[in-house]
Amino acid sequence: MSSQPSTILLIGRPQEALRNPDALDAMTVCKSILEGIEQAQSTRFDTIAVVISNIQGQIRQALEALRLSSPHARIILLAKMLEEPLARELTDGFTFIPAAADDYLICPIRVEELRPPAAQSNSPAALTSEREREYQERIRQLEILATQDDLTGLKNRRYLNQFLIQVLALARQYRFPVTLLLFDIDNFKQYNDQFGHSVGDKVLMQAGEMIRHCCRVHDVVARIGGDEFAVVFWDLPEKKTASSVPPQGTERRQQQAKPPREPIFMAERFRKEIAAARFAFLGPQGRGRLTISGGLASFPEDGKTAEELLNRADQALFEAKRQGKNKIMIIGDKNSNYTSASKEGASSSPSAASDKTQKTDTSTQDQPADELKETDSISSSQSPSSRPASPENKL
Amino acid sequence: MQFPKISNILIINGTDKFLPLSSACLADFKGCKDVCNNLYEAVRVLAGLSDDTGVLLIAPLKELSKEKGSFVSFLERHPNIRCLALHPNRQEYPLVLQQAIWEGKLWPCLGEDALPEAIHWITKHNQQGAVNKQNSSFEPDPISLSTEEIEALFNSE
Repeated sequence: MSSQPSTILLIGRPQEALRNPDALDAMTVCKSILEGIEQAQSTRFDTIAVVISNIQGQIRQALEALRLSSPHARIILLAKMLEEPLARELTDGFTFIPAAADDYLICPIRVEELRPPAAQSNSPAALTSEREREYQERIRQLEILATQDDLTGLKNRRYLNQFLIQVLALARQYRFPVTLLLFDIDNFKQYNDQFGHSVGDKVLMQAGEMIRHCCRVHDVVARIGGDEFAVVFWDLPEKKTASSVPPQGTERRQQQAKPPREPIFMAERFRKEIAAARFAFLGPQGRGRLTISGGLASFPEDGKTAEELLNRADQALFEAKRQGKNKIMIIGDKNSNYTSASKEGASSSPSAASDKTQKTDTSTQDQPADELKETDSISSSQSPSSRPASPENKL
Repeated sequence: MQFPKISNILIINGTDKFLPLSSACLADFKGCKDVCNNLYEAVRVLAGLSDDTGVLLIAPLKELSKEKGSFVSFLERHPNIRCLALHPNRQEYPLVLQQAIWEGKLWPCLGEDALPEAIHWITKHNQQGAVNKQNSSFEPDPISLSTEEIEALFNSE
């Protein structure tokens, strides 16, 4: 434990949290949360930064004890991208549950970002601090711009790529499934042409809002292109216990071969909701005009890297388009059998799910509702020639 | 180092099945007694005490294992703390805590019945580390079986 006087306490490994760990002389470092609580009890700090992944037990209890040890300190959580939902939950206060921390930052950060906000005063020192605060605010704004889609407020492609890399690394370690959904709005170009770009923007915004509501808080929803969206469905890894030891051999293969039920359910729910939704800005015939097509791919069956998953989900999306749109398709096993996600979601037995050769598409019952001319809305970046050849006669 | 006389007992009630406060001997304990809800709260309280104050911490082992080896490091930094870990179901716990028990940094207590005796033993024997057999009043008797018992053992099959 470092004993030099400092107003910043970092709890966790600096290499994990900081871009510039060489600037450590500006802070006190504790390796564990217990050491941090102890240190905060004896020294007054302005800021306490806690690396979330460093806490192995009950994080809220730990933060409460930390708060009591140093009531005047600003507690900032340092989270990995995939820990953001947890960090948000801990910093948001509810009626009966006070916020456990004051703010959170996504790692890695620069040490300067942990400096306390300026005191409200007119002294030269305070003015300098005020400028510093503005500077910090600008950094925060830039971070938002770098990771968020301007139009919809969803995450952007850059964030999605980084997140996929991180969550897949964790999924490999703890062996939990990750499912990627790619979808786009059918015939979007024609809406733009017919109603104008401002209406097109509204369509994207409403679609973004609807998919956000159909997903869980921790699923990452991003707009990755014009009318292309992506969702990463994943589950928080459980603590490593005897019961969560990765299954071996046959059991493990059987577990991985199961179709991703929750993502299928959520994707299908979204597809149905959007097909039934009313879009006032599309005129009196606005209800039921908009449909989406999507493709699902799961780690580890369909791909082991972010690139593989994106490619496979894109193939499934293309297949959904090819089969008449208004469908969510899922890539099946390694033989690249496609099957309708609605069928997968409806089937309850694993044996039914594995028997993909006998499947017929049930989502064709939901006919595309739009009355526009039935042409494919695939943009130039998604032209059929640029896509991998779709498997034929395998459905 | 001379261990200060134990003048405080701190109890982590925790959420395990075996709660220390359900034990009659602790409920009736006449000494200075304080109760915490979890490990973090206890560390905060213990860190605020002077090194001259001898403290006995009684907690479910499950609670102590929350931060794995960090708690053992904490104990090493505070030699004025003795710790009794309630371990009724003999579950497996992190190796570092098992090691701490083996090294005598934590004293395990396997059941409610044994608790009064364990408290008595710790408050009486303040030496850090393993049991000093010469001073121990709990040195087990040599095994002695009667002829009938030996016969029963060998003829049990």
